[in-house]
Amino acid sequence: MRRARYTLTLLGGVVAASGAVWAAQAGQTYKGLEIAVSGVERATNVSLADCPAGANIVRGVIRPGDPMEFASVKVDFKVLPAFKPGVIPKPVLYDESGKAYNTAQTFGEIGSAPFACAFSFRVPKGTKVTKFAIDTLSINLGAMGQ
Amino acid sequence: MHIDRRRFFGSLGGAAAVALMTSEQKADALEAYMEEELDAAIQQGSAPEKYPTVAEIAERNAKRTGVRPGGGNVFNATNRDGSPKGPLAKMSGQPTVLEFFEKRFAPANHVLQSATRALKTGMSEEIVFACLMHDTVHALVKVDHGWWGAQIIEPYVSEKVVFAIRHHTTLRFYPDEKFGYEYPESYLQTFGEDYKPEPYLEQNYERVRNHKWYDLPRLVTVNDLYSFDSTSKVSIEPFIDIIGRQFKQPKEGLGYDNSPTAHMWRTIMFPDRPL
Repeated sequence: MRRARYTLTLLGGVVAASGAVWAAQAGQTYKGLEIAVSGVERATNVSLADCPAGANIVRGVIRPGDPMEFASVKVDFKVLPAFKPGVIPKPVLYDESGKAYNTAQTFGEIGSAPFACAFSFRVPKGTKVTKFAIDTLSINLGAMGQ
Repeated sequence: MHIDRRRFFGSLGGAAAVALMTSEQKADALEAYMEEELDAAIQQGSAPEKYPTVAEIAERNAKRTGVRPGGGNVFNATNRDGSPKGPLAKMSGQPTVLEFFEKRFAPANHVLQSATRALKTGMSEEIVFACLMHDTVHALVKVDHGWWGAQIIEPYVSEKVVFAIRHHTTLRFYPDEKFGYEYPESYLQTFGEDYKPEPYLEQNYERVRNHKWYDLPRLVTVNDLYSFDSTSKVSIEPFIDIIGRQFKQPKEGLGYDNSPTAHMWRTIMFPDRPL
């Protein structure tokens, strides 16, 4: 019984947290794409696939002893009727001090279907990241960037 | 890596077919099989369970037969399935760099993909051309290919293109978050998980990263990183004009112009000559 109550409390917290994150992300559009960040993960071995993913198999690693890590930003894209194919600049990630981090990944061929990508950025371990940007679009990462 | 013996034999046409192969053909076929298995694992998004160490790679190389890993492609006379490659296409009396692409560098998918990417992302023409040429010397030699690759085209291209190609080999080992260049996971497999670049590479890295032209080889590595897509359809066609502007084709033909690197082009043309 106690475990069930604890689980419900935990689920409630997760739902509330998710809601807060969604509220921070919804409704951002850029050149006919609706863009939302769904999470930020830390990793040492990541795919460097294009976005949307194609057949590219290259992966990047943080080597042992390297004081860096990847901050992988998971991003959902919806293609709106206003979208026109063209070059989309690479995303940039910012930390608390405003320092910019670049990614190796680029945008590939975008069709009409929604797609999701994880853009990975090499950052010093434990760096709090605050903002994900594509050209003029800027998304505040809030608690996800911790 | 675990080898499924039955699957491996099946890929070669069965035990009877394997019995007809020489030891060298079997070794090459096994290596090709392992590479394909590894590629498949990576394509599925899963990293290998364990990467080899430098010592394990050295041990593996000690058991090799045939061409050593640093040897050029034209010296490998064996197909992945163990069959002979047969004679190379005959070169003309005045070969151009395009003819080398067609008859010696082909299929050249990797460099064509790299240059295509550079073109699509708006790189300068010199960078696009450097990407196109950066690994073509693999036909001759793979070890230290940046130096070899720069040297062989040095009489015919700009100083910046030479710099970009010469030093991309060094910069591959050093991530750069400013340019978004990452250490490729495949290098853990190729060089060993405990590999550290040799002192000559470290020293060259220090020199190059403080050079005013650092961006040039770095941009080659950025476009190099992505160009292993086996499904990508690429062609030399979009680069013919760029080659015309960037490569001073000698009228006598490559290999016959008495340039300091003419012998290197001839070696690629005639790898079957014993002396």
